[in-house]
Amino acid sequence: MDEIQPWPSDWLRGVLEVCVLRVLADGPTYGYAITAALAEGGLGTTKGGTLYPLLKRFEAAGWVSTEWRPGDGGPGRKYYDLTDAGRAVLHERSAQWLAFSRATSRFVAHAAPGGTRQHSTEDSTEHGTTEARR
Amino acid sequence: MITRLRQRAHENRYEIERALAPHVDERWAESFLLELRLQGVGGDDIGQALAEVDSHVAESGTPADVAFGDPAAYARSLELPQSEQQAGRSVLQMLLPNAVSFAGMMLAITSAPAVARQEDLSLTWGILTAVALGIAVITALLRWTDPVVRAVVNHPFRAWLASMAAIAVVVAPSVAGLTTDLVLSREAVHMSALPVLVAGVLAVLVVAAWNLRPSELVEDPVVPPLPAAGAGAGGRRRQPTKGRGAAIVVALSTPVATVALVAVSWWAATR
Repeated sequence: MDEIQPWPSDWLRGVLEVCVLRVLADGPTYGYAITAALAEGGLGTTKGGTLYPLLKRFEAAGWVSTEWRPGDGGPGRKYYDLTDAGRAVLHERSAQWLAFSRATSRFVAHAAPGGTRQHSTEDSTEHGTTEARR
Repeated sequence: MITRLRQRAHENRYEIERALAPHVDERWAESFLLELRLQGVGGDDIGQALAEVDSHVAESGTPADVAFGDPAAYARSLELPQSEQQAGRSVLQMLLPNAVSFAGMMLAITSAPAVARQEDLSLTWGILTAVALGIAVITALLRWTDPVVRAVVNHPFRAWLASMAAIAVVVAPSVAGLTTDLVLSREAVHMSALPVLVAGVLAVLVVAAWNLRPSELVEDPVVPPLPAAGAGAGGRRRQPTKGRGAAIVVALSTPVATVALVAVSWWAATR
């Protein structure tokens, strides 16, 4: 997953919630570490102005619990940890997302270079009419 | 000396921001803090929000305006809850004493000439109208506190002009009553003057004493979520001296103005 080009921001806006929940599932962590994990996973740079309001919504909804811990040699950090409710939301949303992305990937597969090669056997019959029309 | 005063003023201006968010640009932090205050967010929540910005800026190395954008917009996006102290009802409780103080000042000023001439107090319709207008203005301020505070903070000079104009409008009927022969100058109430003067002065002094209580001068300070290393006891910080000084000046302004205006009207009446 190359991220030479940043992802379109409205795509990221839709998927950020489930991605942040996924990062939190690995254990209590704090804002900057979450942005680092997202970047490492190929999702590009997430700004503080985008992330922290999201985390605040999680806190208000009861999906995370928070705790302030002194930082190592630097300013203190606010740690976020998933609650049971948060975990349930994560499972639901990630299952939804996987189904959604499978459907959309199959839908647009022909338009991408190399797409026809990957999905030719499976999709040529399904989308035969679409091909003919194009 | 001026440069030294200006230097000290600059050092004190960002005292809170520098203490709680040393890695963040001071003006960004000040705008952020101000917007949260205007929203009525409590000191604890503000301290946490500011500390989180500081932590992120320190570790990421990106400046606050790049990582968080416009400070006021970011403050609004957090949707932090209003604190108990800042809620509308307590603001009302805060402003009511000042309304009483204003009424006391008006009573003192209007009764002083009568006491000076050892006459009875004769209140004209003009004066009663002025008092009614004054009460109406104060009630309006209580009702629409937030927009008024926002306007004053964003446009201080215009706000000052508007308040001067408002005072002129309120005082005008009583002045008009003195100079012309309209309804406003006709007597409405006739009573003994000294009790009115005493009551007015007492009201002003009581409210001033109330406002000068030590607990009144330090209201919901912004506190950091963790005690700073080497900063001594717990979370409560001493209110910066600049804030306290301003509060004292405000508390004393009405009594001082009352004394001055009573003296002037007394002198004018006995001339």
